[in-house]
Amino acid sequence: MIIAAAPSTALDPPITKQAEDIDKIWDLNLYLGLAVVAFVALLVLFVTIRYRRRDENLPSQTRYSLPVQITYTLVPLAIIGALVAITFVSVSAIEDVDKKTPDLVVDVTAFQWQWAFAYPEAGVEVVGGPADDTPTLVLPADSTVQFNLESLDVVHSFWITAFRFKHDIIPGSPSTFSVEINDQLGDFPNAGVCAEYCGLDHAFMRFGVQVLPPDQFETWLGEQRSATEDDS
Amino acid sequence: MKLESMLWSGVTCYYMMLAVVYLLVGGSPGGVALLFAAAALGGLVAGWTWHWRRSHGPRPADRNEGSPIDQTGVVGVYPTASLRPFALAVGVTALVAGIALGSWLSMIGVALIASQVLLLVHDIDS
Amino acid sequence: MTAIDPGEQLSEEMPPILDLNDYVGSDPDHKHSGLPRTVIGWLTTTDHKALGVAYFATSLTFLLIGGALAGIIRAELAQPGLQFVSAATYNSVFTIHGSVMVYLFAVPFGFGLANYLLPLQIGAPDVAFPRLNAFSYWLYLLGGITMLTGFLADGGAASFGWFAYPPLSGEAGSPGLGADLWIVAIILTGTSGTLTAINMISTVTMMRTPGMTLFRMPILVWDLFITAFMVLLAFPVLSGALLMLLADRHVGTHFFDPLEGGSPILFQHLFWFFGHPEVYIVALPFFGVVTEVFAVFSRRPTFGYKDLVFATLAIGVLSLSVWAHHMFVTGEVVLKFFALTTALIAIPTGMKVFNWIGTMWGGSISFKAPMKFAIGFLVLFVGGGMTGVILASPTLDFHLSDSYFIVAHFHYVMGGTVVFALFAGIYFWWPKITGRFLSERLGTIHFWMLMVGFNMTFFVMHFLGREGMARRTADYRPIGNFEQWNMIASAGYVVLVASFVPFGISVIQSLRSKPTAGADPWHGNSLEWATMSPPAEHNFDWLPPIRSDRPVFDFRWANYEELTSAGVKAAWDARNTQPESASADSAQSDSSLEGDS
Repeated sequence: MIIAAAPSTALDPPITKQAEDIDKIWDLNLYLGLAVVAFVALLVLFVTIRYRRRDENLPSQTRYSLPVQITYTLVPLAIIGALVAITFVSVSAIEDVDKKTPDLVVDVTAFQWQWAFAYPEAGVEVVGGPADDTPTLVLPADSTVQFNLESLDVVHSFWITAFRFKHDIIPGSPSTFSVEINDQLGDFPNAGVCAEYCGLDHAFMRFGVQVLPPDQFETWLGEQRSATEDDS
Repeated sequence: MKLESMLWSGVTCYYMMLAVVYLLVGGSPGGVALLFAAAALGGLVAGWTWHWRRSHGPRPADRNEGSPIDQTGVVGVYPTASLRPFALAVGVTALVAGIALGSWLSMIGVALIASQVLLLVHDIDS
Repeated sequence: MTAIDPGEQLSEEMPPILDLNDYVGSDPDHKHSGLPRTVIGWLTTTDHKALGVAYFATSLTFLLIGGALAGIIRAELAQPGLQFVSAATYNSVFTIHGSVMVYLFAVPFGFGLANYLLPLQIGAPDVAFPRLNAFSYWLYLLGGITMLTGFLADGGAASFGWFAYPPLSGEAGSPGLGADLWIVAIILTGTSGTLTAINMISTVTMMRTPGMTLFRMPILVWDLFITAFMVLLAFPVLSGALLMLLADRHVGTHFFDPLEGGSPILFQHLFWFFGHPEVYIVALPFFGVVTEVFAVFSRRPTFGYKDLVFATLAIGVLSLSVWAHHMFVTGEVVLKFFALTTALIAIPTGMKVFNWIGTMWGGSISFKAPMKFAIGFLVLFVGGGMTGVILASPTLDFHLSDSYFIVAHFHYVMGGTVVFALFAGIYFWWPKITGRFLSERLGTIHFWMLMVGFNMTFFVMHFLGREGMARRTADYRPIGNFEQWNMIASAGYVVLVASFVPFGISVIQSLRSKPTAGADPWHGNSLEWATMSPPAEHNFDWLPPIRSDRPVFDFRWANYEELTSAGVKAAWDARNTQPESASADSAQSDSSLEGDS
C-alpha cells in the first residue's frame, strides 16, 4: 500500500484484528477511488484535447442520450451499493466485538488536558502528569479489551491510531467499546491522541501505547500494584 | 404553480417518511423532532402553493407559449431606495448583541426596531 | 453541424444571426444603469444588483481576512514547536478562520450570486421583497463585523472551533465576550440567510417572466432555488441551537450542561442538522455557475438538463438526511442509517459530473478564463468527492474523523467550488456587471498559480491525516514525514496567496478601461445576456421569446429553425408583424414588462 510503504511513516501497524480488516477496506476504497478519479480525469483530458475549438462551426446540439444517462446512473449506483454492503458488514463486525466478554477492562478518564488509565480489577491506575509527562497505556496481546470512557469536563476523543479507531468521550454520557488485540507486540509512543478539540492544550493531550505478551503484562500489573502499595 | 406544489408536497412526504424510518431504527429524539419539523415547514409552503392554485388559475409564467406581452402592466411597486432596511438591521444587531454586551444596547435596539417598523408599516422610506 | 460563424452574416442568402446589442437598448450616459454613487445611495439601495455587488465585495473581503488567518496557521505549522503564536491565540485563529470562511465568505458569496443573477435569469425586474433583501445584506455585514470585534475582547476571539461544541462553548468552558460575540454574529448572519432564502423562493415562484416555466429556468436558478430550500430548513435550526447556547451562558438554562442534566450531544445533532446542508448550501450555487460556463464555452446545450434538475433535487433533499455522519465517532448515532444516506448522496453528485462532461463532449471548446477555472473545479471536486465516499463509511471514518484527512477532504470540495468555480463565475459575469473584460493573460497566470498552490497546500494533508495528525492542533510531533508535509503545505500557501496578485492587477486594469463588452460578449444562453452591460434599472426593457432553457441562444439563431427551439421563430415573427406601438428602448420607471409590439 502506497502510504504504508513510505520510508518513514508515523502510522503504527494495526494492533487489533479489527484494525487489520479496516486497513484492507481502506486499501479497497483507496484504489477504487483513485481509479474513479483517474477515469474522470482522463475523460476530461480527452474531451479538452479532442473537442478543442478548431473553427467557428456550431457543434452538435444533442441534449440527451438515454444509454449514456442510464449508464451514469446505474454504474455509480452499483459501486455505491457494493461499498454500502461492505460498510454494513464491517460496522456490524466492529459493533459485535462490544458484545464479547472481555479479558481485560480498562477505565479511561479524559480531562483537560491529560489522560488517566485505570485497571479496576487489578487496582492499578496510570495518570499522566503535567506537560510532556504523557502516560502509556499498557495492553496484553491476544486478548479482548473493553474500554470504559468517561470525561470530567468537555468533549474529548480517545484515538489510538494503531487501532484505526477513535471514540468520542462526552461528559455526562459514559461510553464503552471493545477490541481484540492481535499478536503485534511493541512500543508505540505516538499512537494515542485526543482527537476532539477540547481547549487550550488539546494539541498536547497525548498518550503512548505498549503491547506486551500476556504473561509480561501480568508481571507489569503486579509491579504497578506493589508500587502503589509501597507509596501508600 | 402545479410543479411548485408538487415539489413542496414531495419534500413534505419525504421528510415525513424519513422521520418515521429514523424513529423506527432508533434515532435520536432530537433528530426525529427535526425531521418532523422539516416536514412541517415544507408542508407549510406546500399548503400555500395548493391554496394559491385553487384561488388562481394558470399563470403566464407556467404557459409554454407564454410571451412577455401576457404580463403587461405593473408587476410590483418597489421603493427604489429606502433607509428602513439599514436602520432596522442596526436595531436588530443592537438587540441581539445586547445579550452579550449589556441590556442597555438591547433597549436601544428595541427602540430602533419599533421606530423602523412603524415607519415601514406606513410605507415611509426616507 | 452548421458551417456558420455565430455573430456574422456570411452572405445575403443566409438569414441573419441576430445580435442582442441591436435590441437591448443603450444607455451611454449611464443614467439608468450602474451602481449607487454616494454613501447614502449605498445605504438606502434596494436594487438587487447593487446588493449583489455589495455581497460580492463584502464576502471577498472576508475571504482575504480568512486567508490571512490561514497564513498564521500555516506559518505556525510550518515547523514543529510554537514559534509565532501561543496555543491560545492559535485556537482563536483557526476558529475564526473557519467561521469567517464558511459563514462570512462562502455562503454570502452564493447569496451574492442569487441577488445579482436570479432576477435577471428569470426575466424579473427585482426580487420579490427588495427592502427585505437589503435588510438581509446589512444584517450580514453587521453580523460579520460583530464576529471580528471578538478579537478586541478580553480573552480574545472565540476559540472553540467553528462548530462551538458545548460544554467547551458553555459558560464554564469559554467564559468571555469573544465567545458571546461569535454566537451573536452567527445568529444575525443566520437570520439574514433565512430571509434571503424566503426572498429567493418567492421570487422564483412568483416572478418568472411568461414562458419561463420551471423546466426552462437556467440550472443556476434551479441550484439557487434548491439552495434556498436547504437554507430555509437548516438555518433556523442553527439559530435556535445558538440561542439555546447563549441562554445556557447567560440566562441560567442547562440545555447542554451535563452537570445539570443537559445533553451536549443534543447540540451536535442540532448543529449538524444545519451543518451538513450548510456545505451543500455552499456548493450548489457554484454547481450552477459551472453548468452555465460549460455550456457557453463548449457551444453546446447542457447535457441532460432534467437529470441535472432531479439530481440537484435529490442532493437538496438528501442533504438534510445525512447529518450524523459528522458524529460517527460519538458512538451514539445509528451508524448504518447515516452510512446509507451519505453514500446515496454520491450518486446524484456523480451524475452531475457526467452531465458536465457530456456538455463538453462533442463541443467546440474555448479555454477562456471562465472555462479554465470550471475545468479546475471539476477535477478538484471529483477528488474531494472521492474522499467523501471514503468518509461515508463509519468503518474508515473511525480512524479518519477529526484528522487532517477531513481537513484535506473539505478543502478539496470547498476549493473546487468556492475557489475555482467562484473565479469561473467572476471571470464569466464580470463583463455583464461592469461592462468591461478581465485580462485573459493574467487570468491564465492566476489559474495555474492557484492550481499549483492549492494542491501543494492541501494534497499532503491526506497523508497527514491517515498517519495520525489530529486537526485543530497548534503543534505536532516531528514523527514520520509530518515535518516535510507541513512544510510543503505552508509553502503551497504562499503560492496560493500569490495567485491573487495577477487577479488583483487584472481587476484594477479592467476597472480603469472603457466599458466595451456589450450585452452578449460570450454568446451566452440565459436572459442576463439580453440586457445592457451593466443592466438597466429594473433590468429589462425588452425580452426575447422564451421557449427553452436557452432563450438568448434561441434568439440569436431565431432565423434558423433547425437550431433554435420550437416556437421561437413563430413567436418572433408574430411580434415583428404586429403594428409598432412602443419604442424598443424606452426605459420604464414603473416595473411593467412589455413586449415591443
